[in-house]
Parts: sequence; structure tokens; C-alpha cells
Amino acid sequence: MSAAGGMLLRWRTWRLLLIAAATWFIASLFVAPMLNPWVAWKIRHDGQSMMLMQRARIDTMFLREEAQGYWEREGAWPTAVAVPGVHDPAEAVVVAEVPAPFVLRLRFTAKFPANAGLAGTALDHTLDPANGHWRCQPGTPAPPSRWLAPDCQSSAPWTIIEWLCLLLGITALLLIVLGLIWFRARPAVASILHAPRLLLQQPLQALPALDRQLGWLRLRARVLADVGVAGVRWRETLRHVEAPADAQAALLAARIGAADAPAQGWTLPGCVREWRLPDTLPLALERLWVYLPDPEMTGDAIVQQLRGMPNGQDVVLLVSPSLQAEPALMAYADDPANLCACLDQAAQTRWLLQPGAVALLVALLARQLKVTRISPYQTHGGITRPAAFFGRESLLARVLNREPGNYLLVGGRQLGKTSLMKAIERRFVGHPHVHCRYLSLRDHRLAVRLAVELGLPEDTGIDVLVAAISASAEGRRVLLLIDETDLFLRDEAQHGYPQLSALRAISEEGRCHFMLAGFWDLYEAVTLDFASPLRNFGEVIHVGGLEDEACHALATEPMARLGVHFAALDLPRTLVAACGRRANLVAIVCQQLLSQLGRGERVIDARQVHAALGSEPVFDALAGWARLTPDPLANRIDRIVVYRLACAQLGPGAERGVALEDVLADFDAAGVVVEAETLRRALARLQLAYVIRRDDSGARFVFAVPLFATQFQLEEARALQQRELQALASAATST
Amino acid sequence: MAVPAFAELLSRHMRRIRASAGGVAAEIGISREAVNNWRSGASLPSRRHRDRVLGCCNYLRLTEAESNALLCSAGFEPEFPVEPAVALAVRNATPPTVLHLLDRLQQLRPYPVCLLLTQAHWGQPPEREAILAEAVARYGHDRVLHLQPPFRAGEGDEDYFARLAEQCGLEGVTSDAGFEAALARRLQQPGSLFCLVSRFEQGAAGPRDVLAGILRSLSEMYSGKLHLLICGGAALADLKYQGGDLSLLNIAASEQWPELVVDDLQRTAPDVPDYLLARALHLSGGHPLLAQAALTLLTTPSPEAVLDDEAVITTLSTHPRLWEALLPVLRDVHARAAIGSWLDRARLAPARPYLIDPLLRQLYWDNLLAVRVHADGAWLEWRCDAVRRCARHVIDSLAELPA
Repeated sequence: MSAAGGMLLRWRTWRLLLIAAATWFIASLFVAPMLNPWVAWKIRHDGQSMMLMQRARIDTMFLREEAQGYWEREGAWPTAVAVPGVHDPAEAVVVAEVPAPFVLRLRFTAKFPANAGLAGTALDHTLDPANGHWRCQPGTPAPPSRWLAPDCQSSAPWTIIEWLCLLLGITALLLIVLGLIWFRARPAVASILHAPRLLLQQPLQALPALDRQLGWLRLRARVLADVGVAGVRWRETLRHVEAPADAQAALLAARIGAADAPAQGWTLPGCVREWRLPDTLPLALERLWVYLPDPEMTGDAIVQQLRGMPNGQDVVLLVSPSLQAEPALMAYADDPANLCACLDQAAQTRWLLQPGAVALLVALLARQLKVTRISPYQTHGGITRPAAFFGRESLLARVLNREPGNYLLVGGRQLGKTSLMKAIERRFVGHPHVHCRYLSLRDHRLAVRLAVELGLPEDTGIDVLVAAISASAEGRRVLLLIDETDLFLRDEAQHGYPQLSALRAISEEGRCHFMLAGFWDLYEAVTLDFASPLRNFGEVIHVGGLEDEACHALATEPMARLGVHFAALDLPRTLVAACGRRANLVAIVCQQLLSQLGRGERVIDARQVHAALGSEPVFDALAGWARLTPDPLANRIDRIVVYRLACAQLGPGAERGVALEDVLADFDAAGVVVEAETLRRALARLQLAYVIRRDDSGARFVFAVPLFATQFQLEEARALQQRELQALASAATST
Repeated sequence: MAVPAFAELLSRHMRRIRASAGGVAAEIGISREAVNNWRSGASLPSRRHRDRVLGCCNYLRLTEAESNALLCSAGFEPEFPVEPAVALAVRNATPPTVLHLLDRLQQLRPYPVCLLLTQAHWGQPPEREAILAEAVARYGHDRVLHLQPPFRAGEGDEDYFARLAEQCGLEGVTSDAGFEAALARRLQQPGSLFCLVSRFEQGAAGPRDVLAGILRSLSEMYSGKLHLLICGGAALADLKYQGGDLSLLNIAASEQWPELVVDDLQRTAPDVPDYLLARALHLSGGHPLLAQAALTLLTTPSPEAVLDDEAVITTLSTHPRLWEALLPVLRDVHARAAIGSWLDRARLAPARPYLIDPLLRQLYWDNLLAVRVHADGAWLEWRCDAVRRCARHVIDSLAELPA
């Protein structure tokens, strides 16, 4: 047991003893004075005076009876009265004087010890002849008040009711004073009783004391019920406070669904753990280092240790060991230049008692780290985290809510085909009837890729490979998602589709279903090549822009989780419209917006949106359209169409778009003969790539992404179009 | 150290990749006899043919050090900056750019894949030793790989991946699948794996694409564990921005090597006062070779008076690398007209990560243009007056030639 624990136990014992002693003192005073130590002390120190006083009271009674009896017998007040039976005046403890009719002045003699202060003092007793009642009051000089009998005070004597009221009042006052002192010493309890939600703002280390105090007041259950904390969870939290560091880390991790494991290679004093965070965490953070410092360390010492750590890119979650260390730890963690976040004592209370520890972690990290470090926006590659995937619900429903079939996912690059496939794979995890597997091709060799994936020899045939997948499916139907199929399909087309035919046969036998994703080669195989086995192979799904609402959610929801908001409601709409509902562009712009935010800044205004829309990463993402096929001639025609459209939109007339006739007229003017089918393919390709789209009337083409036009300058676009047309004309002449 | 004879070096490198004299000749645009004469030692390349020898280096897929050695043996200046071969002993000495680069790489989620694009006359990558030393400090000695894709030897890809495996210390690899499996085993070990890929763009297209596919697959399978830094210049940018077939490059973030600053020059010339470094930087416009040349001019004692800026610019405008860059471009009449009209302009075009105009793009990657940031955005400008003056000289020279 620690020194602090021993001291606490001693204090509790002493306090109990004090309370017992006080109770006994007060009770014995009234019930058993002989057992009362104060009474005993008085007797020991003033016993003789008390005995004499007792005698004086008896003598007083005799003297009053003598005087009253005389008056009743003789009809006159006596002139002198003496205690019957006392013949030696030196033995008397009290002598009577008669200063007036019906008045007896009883003076205490020198028999009383000097320290009692009674010798020579007098009490005046007055008889009321009407009713025969005696009244007593201090004479001159008056005896010390402590010797006065209750019926002999200067004022009227108190009744028993008055005495009881006084006792009650004093007791109540005492209780109030004690209560005030107690509340002053423990303001937390008072505030919690007033507003129970404040319990969640108490430091974790204070909970055991609060628990006892609420228990004394018999208010624990009521407060917990008001806050919505179950008793089990409360007791678990109280045990957590006393638990060893590794058990504390495990419980904290359990609240957010993280996998807790010991961390290797750390030399920090205390306990360091590694948390693998769940995929559902709405931040781009896969793991955390969790540091629970030695409770004996000061805040400055902990910070010094943290500063000495090697510069990594992993986030460290520092669990505050005490309120005393917290100011230094929070000051360090609040500096966004480091990758350290501090879970303060109050946050630990909320983390353990409340549901929604994940939201607490997100808010904490967003407040203490650079938001770009944990930003949930994924700007490159297929979306891997469920929380970063938005929309496509109808497309997903088409696949998920039906019997397994074949699908052909056609769309341009960076439009979300891979994200969609990964979302489908995630939804089928643990499905009782469907075994879904994702495979990304890296070249034209499907069978080799599948063999490597399954750990089989490279020369294994496609039939055997599918059989191996079926065997691993344990009776479930197999859906194989094959991504990046363009190179494979290009090779297949050159060799008469040998493997695709095999896939079709396997599918028709019901052994396996396929979803193929690709761009132009897939599109050609599906729509333009009548010999392709992909014709009528499966349902064709075109992947284009994201739904408007999903884009809006993508622009606002992750921001809100980070505590960042747009200054005006229409700004996200402006952003989405400028990005042409292309999800990766929306994500890139949002990531840019986060990177532009200053320290502590949490509101995005129109100026920042404008700057983000014109930022380098946006232009970077817009590039990559100039060579959509391996055919140089087709690429050149694509470029001519794009430059023509740029000229139209940037020109003085700011035309809404171009029609097919406009483009053909350009070719004619340049003396270039382009077959209508070639141009139609170019337009189809550019639409599929989401470079252009038909306008609402359907007659003209416009850029699918309005931002696309901003990468051109009018003069440049004109010059480039002319140059491409000249090159085309030269090539035609030379052939 | 004695420089080996040009003929000996050329023969050795050609034998290594089994390149024929005809192949080399066709690639670099000279006759087979001329190449044979070089190999036999009967003749050396003429002074005008430095670019051909450089083309030969590229065709033979020589390393930067090998390229420099071959150029020197033929009496030419080295092409690539010479960097210290030893690892940096003091970590504090790591250039800030390198620290930023690795910080950025480590922050990329979920795919830590970064393209480092550099203009001509920088190393590929610049500060390679510092990058590797910093990577060793961050990832651990056995968690850092340096891939330098070789030229494909023979008909198949076996040698290609065997050589890559050799660079990674992977044994028993004879195919792309074997290479992938061996690399996957490395990734299964605890900790992230850093992989620097230099000269990615120069490898043969077929196996290069397979390599890209392997790296993409492994990046996806071991999400966040394979930290890839792929370095290159114009060709790599073309692969990323024009093609799109290599999805590895689609998932990669791009970084441009930053402009030269005084601190960079100071590390190569610690004894030169700052004002001279700043002057050299200004006159060269941040061109690495021109800056070194300017520094040499400004620090070499001259019997005449101290060189003024005009004299330095005039000298720099005759730098062979500028002529070699401009001459092939300006031979085209249309390009000559366009560039001629740009020479008087302060700004040529808005800067973009990938320039649409092929002519501007070529000038940019040849390091004749620089991106300069102004209040109204980033713009492309001529790197320095020496470049403009050189372009004018070349245009004038070509105009004097008979049509």
C-alpha cells in the first residue's frame, strides 16, 4: 500500500473516533452526567463548593418556609429568620437578612472557598402574598452566574419548552455551521447535488471520494440515475482508479473498441501501450501510442521525457496521472507542433462513464493536434475506411440486395470504382451466403495474380484457381471483385479472349460470379466489340459523379466531427458544384481547407473556399486526361475536343459549351478528315472519363467539372488546339 | 584517381546489358561505325556530342556515378552533382527539405506513396545520401531499401527482378512473383519498410510497369507499412499525369524538390561569405549548376577587377548545359517562334503541377523556367537572365544557318 493510502486510513480512523467521542460527551451530559468527563472534571476541581451550594439550597428552602410560616401564623413579616437547628453561626453557609416585608436576602458566608466567588454575595427571595409563590433574583453583590439556579436568574425563568427549543436551535445551528464548513471543504458534492451532470466533469481521481460522500448522503443512486450512469459502470470505473496501469489502458481501449497491446522499444517511465484503432473511427488514424506515466512523476518531468522521444509520425495519447501534473501536460499537448494529445482527468471520467468515447477521442485529437494529421479525407486511392465512404447507396443496393450475378463497373480514373468495390467487400464480410474477394490486377495476367494471391503455383489454370476459391468459401457463393482490368482486357482482345471465355463459362456454371472494374478497354469490350464474351456477361454499372447529398455530407460531416464548420450554409454547395460532384475533388478541396486553417480556427469562410478551389492539389488531380488510351491518334482527338471546349468557355462570348457540329467544323477548317465514328468514340471516352458531359438540353457538351476550365488560359488553349490540328493534318498528309 | 579509358568503360557497360553497337547508335542518333570507333578506342566523342554520350548513359542505364565517370573519361564535365558517399554522421545536419519530405511521407494515409519530382541537373534524388541516412534513423537499418531499376537484360524480366532483389538483399529471386513474395515477407515483419526508388522512369517500360504493379499491390495489402519514395523528373511526371495506366502513381502524392536557397549553397561551400552565396543564387536564378558556376566565378581570384553582375551573366549564358538544353528545342521553327516571343515576357504562364503546353513543359523540366510565387498566384518565369541571353544566342545562331 502506498504512503498516501496509509495516511488516508489513519485519518478515517481518527475521524471516526472523534465523532464517537463527541456523541458520547453530548449524550452523557444530559443522560448520565456522572459519566460525563466535563462534569467529572468540575466535581474534581470544585466539589467542595458544590456540596456547600447543595447545603445552601436546602437552607434556603428552610429559611423561606420559616419566614412564610411566621407570616401565616402571625400575620406579619418576621424581622429576623434563622435556619432551624443551626446554632453556631460559623457553621452556617447562608445567613438571612430581612430588608423589607416579604423579602429575604440570603447571603453566602465565608464557608465557601474563595475560588468559588460566592462568599458575601446575596440572593433576594420575594414572596408573593397573593399566591404564596417565591421569586428569586441575584442580590448585591450578585453570585457568579454559573452558581445561579435556573429559577434565580435576573430575568424570568425559562420553561422546559423554551429549554428544549433552545437545545433544538443550537443543534440546528450547529448542523448548519457544520454543513457549511463541509460544503466549503467539498464544493464538488454541493455542485453535483445541484446539477448532477457535473459529475462527468470531475477528475477521475476524485471519484472514490465523491462516491463515499454521495453514499453518506444517501444520494449516490439518485445522482447516477440523473446522469444516466449504470451502477455497474460506476463501480467498474471506481475499480479502474485503483487498477494497475496496463489494466487501465485495457479498459480505456475497450471503451473505443481498440485492440490494446504492450508497446515494444519504449523507455519512458511508466506504461506504454499500442492501440490498434477500429476501422470505424472517423479519422485517418490506424494506431495510437498510449502513455500512462508513473503517478509519482511531476508534469514537467513527463514533458521532459516526451520531448526526448524520437521524432516519429505516430500520435501519442498521454493519460494524465493526476490533477497536479495536468497543467504542464495540457500545455505541452495543446501545442499542435507535436503529435501528443493529453487525456485529462475529467476527460477520463467522461470516457469511462459515458457512452460515445470515440466521439470524445475525435474531439480531443481535433483540438490538440493538427487537423491535417488526422483528417478523415482520403485524397488518393480507393477509400479504405468505412467512415470516409459516402453515397453510392443505390449502386450498392443493386449489388447487395440481389442474388449474386456478374457486374461490369465502368468509369473513369479516380471516380470511385475501387472505393465502391472495397465497400462491397466490406459489406459482405461475414455474410452467411456470399464469399466476396477483392483482387487488383497489376498487369495483364489474371491467373498469375490470382495464383499468387491464393499461394498456388504461378502456372495454375483459371479453373483450378476458381475451385480453390470455392473450396475456401465453405459452401457460400463466390463473388470475385477484379479491379484494374484494362490491361488484362487489352491483352485478351489481342489474343481472342481466352481467359474471359473461361470466366464466362465458370459463371454460367454458377461456380463463381465476377465484378470487373475498368475504364476504356472494359467499355470497348462491353459496348463496341461484338465478339467480346463480356457482351451480355453482366449488368453494366456506370460510375460517375457522386450523388449531390452524399457530396454535401462528404464536405460537411467529417469537418463537423473535427469541430470545423462553414461560415455560410451555401459554401458547401458552392464547393460541391465547382467540383462537379467528383468525390476525390471534394475530398481534396476539404483537405486543403483544413490545411489552411490557423491555430484554433474552426470556421471556413468564402475566401478560404475560393483559395482551396484554386490550390495546387486540385490542379494536380485535374491532370491526367491527355492520354486516355494507348492510341496516340485517339488521344490527340480527345485533346482537340477539350481545347475547343476550353476556348468556348473562356472566350469572350463565354459560350455555355460546344456542339458536335462545332468540333467537326474545326476539323474541316483545319483540313483534317476525322471519321464521325472516331469523334463519337472520343466524346464517349471523354464522357466516361468524366471530363465532359452533355448539358441539360443534351445538345451541347460542357466540362463535367466546372473547375476543369480553370487550368487553361484562353490564348494557351487556342494555340494548343491549333498545334494539335496542325499535327493531325501533317500526320494525315504524310500517310 | 586515374580515369579509366572511355573505350574500356563503354565496352564494359555495353557488355553488361548485352547492348549492340547498332542499338546504341540507333538510340543516340550516330552511326554504328562511330560507336565501334569509340569502343575500339580509335576515336573519342567530339566536343559537340556530350548530349549523345549522355543519351548513351541513359540507354545503358548507368548510375549517376557511372554516368559521371563515363563523361569524365570522354573529357566532359560530370552531369550529376557529386554527393558525399558516406552517411551523414550528425543527424542535426540533415537538410530541412529531407526532414519535411520524410515527415510528409509518413503522414500520408492510407498509402504512404510519394513521387519526388525534380527538374534537370538535380540529383535523382537530390540529397540521396541524406534521405537514406534519415530513413535509417527513422525506420532502422534493415528496414530501408534502395531500388534502382536496371535496364532489362535479356529477353525476359528475370534479370530485372533478380537485380532488384539483389539491391534489397533478397536471395533466390528469379521472377516478378518471387520478388513480390520476398518483399511481402519483409513487410510481414514488425515496423514499416522504407523504399527509395530512384531512376524509376528510366527502366524498360515492361518490367517497370510490373514493378509498379507489385509495389501497388503490396501497398494495398500491407496498408501503411510500405513507405515508398519514387524519384524522377520529366518522364516520371509524364507517367503520372499523362498516362494513368500505372495506378501506383495515381495513389501517390506529388512533391516537387524545392528551389535552391543560400543554406543549400552554404553546405557545399561553407567558407564562402553569405553575401557572395546570395549573389550567386540571384544571378543563377537557383539553377544548381549555374549557381555552382557563378560561385566559382565569384570566388576565383581574378587578375582583373572584381566581376560585375553583367560579366557573370554573360559567362553563365555560355554554360554548355544551357546550350545543350536549348539547342534541340529551338531547332524546331514553331518552337523557336514561340520561345522567341516569350523571351521578353516577365511571366510565361500560371504554374500548374503538370503543364499542358508541351513546349513550356519541356523548358520547365529542363530547368530553364522556375515557379515564382506572387500575390496573384504562382507563375512560370525564366529562371535567370543568363537563360534568356543563351536562348537569344541560340536563336540568333540558328537564324544565321542556311535554311
